[in-house]
Formats: sequence, structure tokens, C-alpha cells
Amino acid sequence: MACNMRVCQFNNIFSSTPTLKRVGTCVPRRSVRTVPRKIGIAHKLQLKDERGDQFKPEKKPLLRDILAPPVGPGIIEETRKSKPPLEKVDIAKTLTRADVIGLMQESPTSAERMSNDKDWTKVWPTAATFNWTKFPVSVTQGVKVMKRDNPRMFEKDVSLELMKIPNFLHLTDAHLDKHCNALQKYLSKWPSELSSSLAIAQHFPVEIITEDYVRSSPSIREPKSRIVTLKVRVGSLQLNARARDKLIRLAKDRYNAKTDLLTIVGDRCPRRKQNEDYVKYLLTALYMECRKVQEWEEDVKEEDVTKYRWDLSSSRKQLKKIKPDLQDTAEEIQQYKEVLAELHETESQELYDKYRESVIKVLGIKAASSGS
Amino acid sequence: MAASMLKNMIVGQNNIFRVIGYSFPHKKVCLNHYRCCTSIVHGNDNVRTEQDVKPRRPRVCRTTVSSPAHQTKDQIGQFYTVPEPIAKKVFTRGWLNPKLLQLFDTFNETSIMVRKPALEIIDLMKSANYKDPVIKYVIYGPQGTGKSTTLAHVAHYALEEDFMIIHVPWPKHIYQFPATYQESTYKEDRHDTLVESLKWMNSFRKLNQHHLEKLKTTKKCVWTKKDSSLEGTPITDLIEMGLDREKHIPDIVGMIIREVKKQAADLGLKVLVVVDGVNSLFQETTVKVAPGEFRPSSQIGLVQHFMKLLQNDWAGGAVLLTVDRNASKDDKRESDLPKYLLGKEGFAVLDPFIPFQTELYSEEEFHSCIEYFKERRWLQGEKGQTQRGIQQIRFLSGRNPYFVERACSAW
Amino acid sequence: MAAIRSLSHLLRQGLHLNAATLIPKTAPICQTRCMAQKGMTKPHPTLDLDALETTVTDMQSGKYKRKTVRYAESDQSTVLTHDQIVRKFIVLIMKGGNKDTARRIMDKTMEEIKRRQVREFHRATESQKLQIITDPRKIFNQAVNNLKPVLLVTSVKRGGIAYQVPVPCPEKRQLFEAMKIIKAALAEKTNSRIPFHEKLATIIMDAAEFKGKAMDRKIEILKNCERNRAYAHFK
Repeated sequence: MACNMRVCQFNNIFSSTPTLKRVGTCVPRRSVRTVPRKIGIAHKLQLKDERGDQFKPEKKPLLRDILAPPVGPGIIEETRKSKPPLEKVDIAKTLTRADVIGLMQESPTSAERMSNDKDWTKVWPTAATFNWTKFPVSVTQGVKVMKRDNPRMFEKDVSLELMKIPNFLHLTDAHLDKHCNALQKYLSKWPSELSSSLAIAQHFPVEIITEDYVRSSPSIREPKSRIVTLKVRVGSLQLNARARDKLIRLAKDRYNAKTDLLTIVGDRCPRRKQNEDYVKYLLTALYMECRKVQEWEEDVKEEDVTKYRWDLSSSRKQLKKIKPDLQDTAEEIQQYKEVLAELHETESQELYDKYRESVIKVLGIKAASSGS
Repeated sequence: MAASMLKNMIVGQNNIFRVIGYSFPHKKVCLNHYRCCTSIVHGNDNVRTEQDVKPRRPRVCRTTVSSPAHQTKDQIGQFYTVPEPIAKKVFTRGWLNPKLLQLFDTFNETSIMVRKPALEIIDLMKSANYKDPVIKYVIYGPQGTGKSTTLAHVAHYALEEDFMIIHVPWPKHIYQFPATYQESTYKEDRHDTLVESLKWMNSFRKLNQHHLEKLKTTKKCVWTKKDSSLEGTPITDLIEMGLDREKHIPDIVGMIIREVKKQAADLGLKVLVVVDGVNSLFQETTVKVAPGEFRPSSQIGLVQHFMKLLQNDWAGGAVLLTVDRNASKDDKRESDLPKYLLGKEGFAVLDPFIPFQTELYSEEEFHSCIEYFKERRWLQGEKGQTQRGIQQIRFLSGRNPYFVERACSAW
Repeated sequence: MAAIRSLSHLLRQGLHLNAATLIPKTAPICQTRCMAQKGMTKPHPTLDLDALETTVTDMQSGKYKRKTVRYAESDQSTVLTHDQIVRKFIVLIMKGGNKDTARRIMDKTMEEIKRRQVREFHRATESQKLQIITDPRKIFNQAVNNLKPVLLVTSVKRGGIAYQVPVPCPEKRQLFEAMKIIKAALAEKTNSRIPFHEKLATIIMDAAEFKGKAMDRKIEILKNCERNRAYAHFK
């Protein structure tokens, strides 16, 4: 396992650095581009490679060659400034294969070397592609679907998927703390009255929501960004029962009874500013309108009301016919009124028992036998 | 220990439990075969082990008190025999389920069980003041629990007390047959049903012959250019005329009802209005008036007449109603409770009423019923008489009166 | 305890219990379907709940022996009204695999028979009542017994000619023949439209009293045997 890891690392070093000069015969055999496909023919055609040597078909590289590439007369020159140049040592002569493996196992990646106290903001200061050597946790990306898939193919060092996805390792709490601390001097203090979300809702009941869109297209315009949504809790408007009922009826679908939110969406104008103004205007108009009391509101009937109202109900009319002398405030009717209000909402067997009692009381009936 | 082993073994099998399917709207009982290991059944509260069901004291299933006025709590669960003249009037077709009538025929007697709702209604009717506006008694409950039977029981009491009975069997039958519809000459927006009106008039006359002699019209009626009946015509004459000239029958029916309402209290007449399935009076018919629109039943003449009887503006009687799931349209059969089935309009018309619920048999009633069926040879065979057999019947029927009879019919 | 533990072990292995080894005349408990093929030739399970319950107590005391037993059919049940002969008859009148319909018809028929008999019972005098049987199953059994033919005719070919040879009807087959006679009687067309179950009830009740269409058929079969008695030695 350790062997394979190291293989990749060495491969990376050798194949991905563009500044490496190809000197002498120290060229990884894989990178010879002029190799024709049909190796057999090449040999017959006496082809020569770019160096003028007789072309030899590519053999599968052996581990020992990769670990210790044959050092020819030339020297590998490394032009990277960050790292010191490799020791010009004939590795093949000094170290055995076992030694090399031991070396590989002894020298861990920075991730493996990282202590728990390491400051993550220094390890990953800015947004960067995922680098498995720096990330101290073993993570995997993907699920093995086919039997023939290598079980190790999702490990962080082998998987390319981890590199493709965006990571937010540059935005941890530690990072944000640092950002915030840096910005602190430009900011004013948060008001103490707004200590909870309840307080914020109380002081700022109206919420205006707008959305901005980013596209990758020739045009930077997005028609959806003109939409403005206004949300306000009807309870915070402090209306009386009648006005509140009227507002809800006027608002229709815009009102959500469960959350008590009135949501007004403005999208009929081309510009956001216009929509915002319109939406505020609508709220004002609704508010003013529901507070007005109009003449026809007196004519409300049983069908119009949502909650049960005894004074409008047909039961009251019926009762008047049977018992014209009975007053609304009479004791016998109280239970009857309550039960009817409950029946308006739900029905149940127990409720009907109550209803029966109340009707018997109201009508003043008595059973013939006392025990019934 | 071993019992639970056996239970686990058997319950884990494939075919052990077949659920009994009740197809309620059609009252068919699909009594599928099932394996009832009665001591081992898991999770069904209807079946008890032999240890739970203690051997009952032999209880008399019959009572000799055959007058509902004299029946009390002591007779609850016992069967009483209805005397023949009353049985012919009230325990007949139109009042009761045909299966029950068939049972009466098979047993050669008309016996029903005395149950709580009927006794409660009779109690209240005994003490009611018939000078006050009519009181409405509404019976509701699951299917097969004895709503129609309660009606018949109370009607028995009423007949003994010399009530006049206005019986509306199943209002749906009134407007079910659009072929008999006819536009009314008397009122706009009204459609009459000749055949049904005639049927009703005949049955009404049969039931209340001796009362009709007292009733007379209080206003002049003009039937056609030539025919008219003056004030003070006896109702029997009107009926005779109607049988001659069938065209006028729906209006005569209206006349009868109007006079009954007006004069009942004054004449000292006590009227019992019985409607089985009153919730169908507040529904649409199945007659199409326009695409997607059906004729409301309130446009049918007979329905309008019977609705008048449900109002509070008359005295001298009692109104006995049943609210039945089957009387509603197919899509409104979720619940048995009155408000749901009557709808807003129906409830508003009937309110305030006194509700009575008919329930499943209690343990006592169930065993009494079993005893009765044993005595009548409906439940027989050595196997049927055993404790285990009764347990199985109890499970199959769920103590629902109708289904107890159906379950016993297989034994 | 050891016995019970080993019981559960047995169950897991899919083996089956037989109460027959405990009590001579009782049979094993219902079992899983996984032994379907093997189970076809095995003894039938019991539907007697008393026997099943004694098995439980015997299991507790540890007396049982392993034996395989046939599985119970889906139309068999432990309801006390369940009758094996009636069940066979239901299968016979079934058409197109509609066993549910056939069973319902049979239920209605039983009810009809009972209803007629009970009706008669309640209108009869005390002495007559003693002779009226109201149990439909008894009547059905009686009818079937009455219709069991003693002899049957089989076709025997001798010298190119097929002779109708009377042959004693084995007991197993008698039941089937009796039911077949009822079925044939049912197939006869009548002018009036009577419900099927009423027709069947009439046939059964008549057969129980040695009269009716089914009885006529049986007598016809026996007469046929009489007619061909000369060929009896062929078989």
C-alpha cells in the first residue's frame, strides 16, 4: 500500500513538472511522443527517436527503474526554487530496494505529520484544489458499484473526484474568526436591543427579499432578479379582530394561516426598485383598506363567517321559534351554544352526548323514568 | 411458554389469517374461511381465550312484556314478541330490512330485541308535552346496529298509544325514478312524482284509517276549472277523489300534511312522523338538469311536503328520524355521525334535535341473541352450541347485530 | 425447557411436528409451504382445534415425534362449520376457478335448506317436530349418501364392440359419483328463472328424501346396470 503511494508521488514529480529539462538519457520512457503505435514495425523500419538513437520498443517500466531510474552520464537538473536540488547521489548503488521501501514508509506526508494543534488557517489559507497530502483525515469519494472495481479507488490519494468538487476548507470557523477579526475595525457594534430573533422580528417586522443571479452567458442581465418579495406577520400589524379578518379575506392566497405570514410578491414591473415600491404600496393599501369599516359589513350572515357565531346561526333562529321567551344569556342555552361551536369544527360521539344533554336542557324535557 | 412458541409458528405461516371482508354498501358478508386458533390468535380484541370468556349464567332471552310502554331497563337484551295486528302494520316491508322480515317469516313470529335507544326514546315520548312544538329524535349509528328496528319498536309504542303515523320509508325511492317526474301545476320549480305519491297515500290511508275521519280541510281548494273542494271537506273524500283523478294526488298529499300540521294539537291528535334515512332529503337527485348539474331533491314535490313536517312550527307530535350512511351519495359515506351525513343544510333544518346512537351488541345482548337463535333453531348442531363455536361467531360478527344473524345462518 | 428449545430449533430447520405419535387419532399441526412437493403424499393435517390444543400441552410435557405432514389447503379452515365433503362439492360446482362464487353459492344453499326446514319446524305440530332435521349439513350428508350408486357401468371393448358392463362402484368413487349426479341434475334447464342456490337446495332436500331429479338420475344409472347385467362377467 505504501509502495503504491510513493509510486504516484514519484510519478508526479517526474511527469508533471514542466520545468524539468530532459538531459541525456534520463527521460522517462513513457513521455516519448514520437513512438509509433506498431512497435514491431518500428523496429523493422529502423526508426530513430529524436535523439537519433535506434528506437527501442517501450517496455513496461519496472519498479526498480521507477524507484531508481538508471542514472546515465547526465544529471537531473531541477529548476524549482522552493525545494533544494536533489542530492547527486547514485542511489542505485548506495541503497537496496528494501532500504528504499523503508525510506518510503518512514517519510510520511505532511498530512501524516500534522499535529492536532496545527493551525488550519495556515495549512489551507485560501481556496485551493484538494490536496491529499495536506488533508489529515482519510476521506473517500464514491461508492463501489462493480465487483471488478478496485476497492482502493476511492481513497483520497487515488481518487480524482475529490479534486473535482469544490471544497470549503478555506472557510472553517478558524478562518472566519480571522476574517471577522480583520474586519472588526471597519464595523460598528450590533445594537443590544436586537439580542434575539424575536427582538429583530419585533423591531423589523417587514422583510423584503430580493435575489441576485450570476450566470455564465454573454449577458449579465437576469429577468428574475427584478422580483421582490415582502413578508410580514399579520400579528405585528396590530389590527382588531374585524380588521384582521378583512385583511385576510382581501389577501386571499397571500396569507398563510399556519405561520400568520402575509407574503406579497411584486414582479409586474421591469425594475427591482419599481417592484419594491409597488409591494410597499400594496401593503399600505391593504392595511388602510382593512381598517375602514363599510356599511355592508353589518349585513354579515352565517355563511360569510369562518368562526361559529351564535348570533348569526340558524340554530338561534330555530330556538326563537320554539322558545320565543328564552333570552340569549339564559343559563340553559350556554352549554348548547358551546356544543354547537365545537360541532362546527369537529364531530365525535362524546360531543353528541353533550349535545343531547344541552338540547334536553334547552327544551326543558324530562324523562318519564328518573333512571333513564 | 409453549403456547407462545406455537403462536409464533402459526402466525408466521402464510395462510393463517384471512381477514373477513365486509363489503358494507351492499351489506354482503364475505365470510372467508379463516383459521381461528382461538387460544392463540394474536392482536385481535374480538377474540378472547377460553379463560377470558367465563361461562355465563343462563339468562332468559325472552320476555313476556310485549308492550313497549311497560318495558324497562330490566328487559334490555331480551326478545319480545310483537302482537300480530301491529306486526302487520309496522313490522313489514318498507319499515324493516327484508332479511329481518324473512327471519320473522322463518321463525313464524315477529320478535325483536329490546334495546336501550328505543327505550330512551319511548321514555322521552311518554313525558313530552304535545302542546309544545314537536321534538325531533334522530337515530344514528353504524350499519346493522338496529336503526330501522328502533323505529319499528317506537312505532309499536305509538300505535298502542293511538298515534297517527306518517311514515316515509326511504326518501331516495321518491326521487329515484326520473321517468315519473312531472312538472307541477300548482307551484313553479316543483316536480311531482305520481307513482310514489300514490303509493304513499295508499299506505298512509291503510295505517291511519280511523284517524282520517276526524281530519277536515280548512281552506278551499281549486283543483281544476270545474273541480274544487270547499272548506270542511273530510280528508277521506279528498283521497277518494285522488284515486279517481291521479293527476291531483301530489297536491292532495300536500294538503293532507298541511292539515295534519295545523290541526294536530287542536284535535288532540298525536302524530308520529317516521323518516328512515332523512339525510337523503337534503341531497341531489341523480337526474341531470344540465351537464354536471343535478336536480336538487328540494325541487321534488313530495320531498317539499315531508320537509315541512320537519319544521318546528307545529305541535302535537314527535318526529322520529334515522340518519343512514346508505341514504347518502357514494362519495359521502365516510362517517355515521349526523352532522356529516346531513350536511350543513340538513343540520340547520333539524337542529335542535335529540340524538340517539345505536351500538353494537353488548356482551349480554350478544349472548341473549345467541340463546334466542339456539331456541329458534337458527343456530344449531352440536358444534354450534359449544363455547368455541360461539367464540367464532363473536369473532366473525364483531357483535354487529346484522352480522350475528348472518354468521349464525351458516351454522 | 430443553424440549422447547429443541422445538424452535426444529422449526428453524423446517421440520414438522406430528401429534399423531402422541395421541393415536390426532394428526399434525399446520405447517409451512416450503415442503410442498414432499408434503403431497403425506398424511393430512387436522383441522380439529381440540386436537391442536392438546398438542400444545403435549409439547410442553415433551412428548412428540418428528413426522412430516401435508400442508393444509387455503380453503380449509378451523371454523366449526367447515365440512370436508361440502368442500369437495364446492370444488365440483366451481367454474373457471371462481371458488369464491362457488363457496358463496354453497353457503346460500345451506342457508336456504336450513331456512326451509326451520320454517317448517316452527309451523309443525309437536310430534312432527321430532322428525324434522334442521341441520343443513346433516341433510346434505344424507342426500349424498342416498345418491351413492352401488354399481356403475364401464365401457369394455370385446371383439371390436364396446359393451356397457356393470361394475361395483368403489367406495372412494361413490362420493364423487353422488356429487356428480347432483351436478348433472343442476345442469337441467327449467322454464322459470330460479336462483341457483334455491335450485340446489331443492335438489339436495329432495335427494335426502329419496325423491327428485337427482334421485331419478341415480335410479336411471342403476337401471342401466340392471339392463346390462348379462355382461357383468366381462369384468
